[in-house]
Amino acid sequence: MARPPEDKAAATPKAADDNALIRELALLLDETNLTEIEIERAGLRVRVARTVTISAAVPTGHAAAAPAAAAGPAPVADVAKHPGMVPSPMVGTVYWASEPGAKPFVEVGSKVRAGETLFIIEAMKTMNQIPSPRAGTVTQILVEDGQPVEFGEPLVVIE
Amino acid sequence: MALALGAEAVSAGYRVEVFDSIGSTNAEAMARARDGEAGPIWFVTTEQTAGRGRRQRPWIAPRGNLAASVLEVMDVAPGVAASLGFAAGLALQAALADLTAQSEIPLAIDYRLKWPNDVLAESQKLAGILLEAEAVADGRLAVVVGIGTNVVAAPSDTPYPATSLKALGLDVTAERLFAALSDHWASYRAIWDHGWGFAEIRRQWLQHAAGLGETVSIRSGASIVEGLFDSIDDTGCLIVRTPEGRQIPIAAGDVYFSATASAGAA
Repeated sequence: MARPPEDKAAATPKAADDNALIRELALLLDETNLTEIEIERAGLRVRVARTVTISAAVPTGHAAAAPAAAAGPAPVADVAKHPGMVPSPMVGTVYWASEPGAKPFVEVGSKVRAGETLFIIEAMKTMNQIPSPRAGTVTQILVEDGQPVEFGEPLVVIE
Repeated sequence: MALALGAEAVSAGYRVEVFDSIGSTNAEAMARARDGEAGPIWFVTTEQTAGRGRRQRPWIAPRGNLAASVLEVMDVAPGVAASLGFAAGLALQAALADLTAQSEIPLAIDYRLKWPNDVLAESQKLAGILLEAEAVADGRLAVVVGIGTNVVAAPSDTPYPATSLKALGLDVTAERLFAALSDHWASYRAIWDHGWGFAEIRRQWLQHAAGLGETVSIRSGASIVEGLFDSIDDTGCLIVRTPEGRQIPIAAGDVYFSATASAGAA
């Protein structure tokens, strides 16, 4: 279950506001018995979900105050802060290859050029080729073939 | 009569390239975008030999059916391009309604739009629409909207019932359909206005939606979501209301109405 963070370093008013917001959403989640709430406010998007965790994505790419879940490790938060992380530009379903069973566009260790296709993300029967924002080597692939992704969700790390 | 644009499409600045026969109009359109074609331009044929549907399912158009892909190169975010598919469904629906009204034999055919953008006639699949989007050299987004319509023949080996205009008793050619479609496309493309006009597109789309308020199942990968088809949201996602009262937005998946999605439940 989502739980508000015990933030020792909630020094800035912004972080305190964010924490208050997350706390409010977590309480609302309990009250309404919903499993997921997502809101967007002043450039900050916060989703609170049971069993998953609290995830916060700031479209501008600032490291967000993303508190860890009650259980389980939180490597996701670390990856989200990785300078080589490529976020999803849209909501949809990720595909590794142009068609089921075909060779994936990229694998761990692949060298990519800027603009080279990393994945296809489908939303509403629209196949969007997701280009690499920069040249480098794919060191981590963070999504499964056929997985639904949210806006800003980490897709790969390119170093 | 050759395949040609309607008068409104011409005055809106559209061009067309006609192929006697071609592998895939969508593939041709995207290849040309990569070569610097900035559109707006249609690629059309009445015989498509290697067409593709969702996830590369084959879409073959035997001679006489219409395969038409329009290329628009725009300055929009990837997520916005998908909403253009709803404008495409409306344009085709409007073209079909016109031609049906002009039929010498009075006909009443119920055309409906199935989320996200198939066109049904009398509850059978008449047309499929597939969009592809890719960033091109200048950083803009090349969007190809492929529209395949069963004019003279429908496949019989599909997992869902399919039909053609001929089977419905509507005696029109692919040429007449394309002229009407290109005109209505120009009009709906203008209403859509890079996504700014999606509220109006959504409003009209919901008026023609198939299965609104009915039980729906959506299969995406290994998971199935079931509930009532409530609406579509302001990005085009299908909103399913589950028996527990949750409203779940769906961005991608195979949609089945009524009790037809029980097969393959994970």
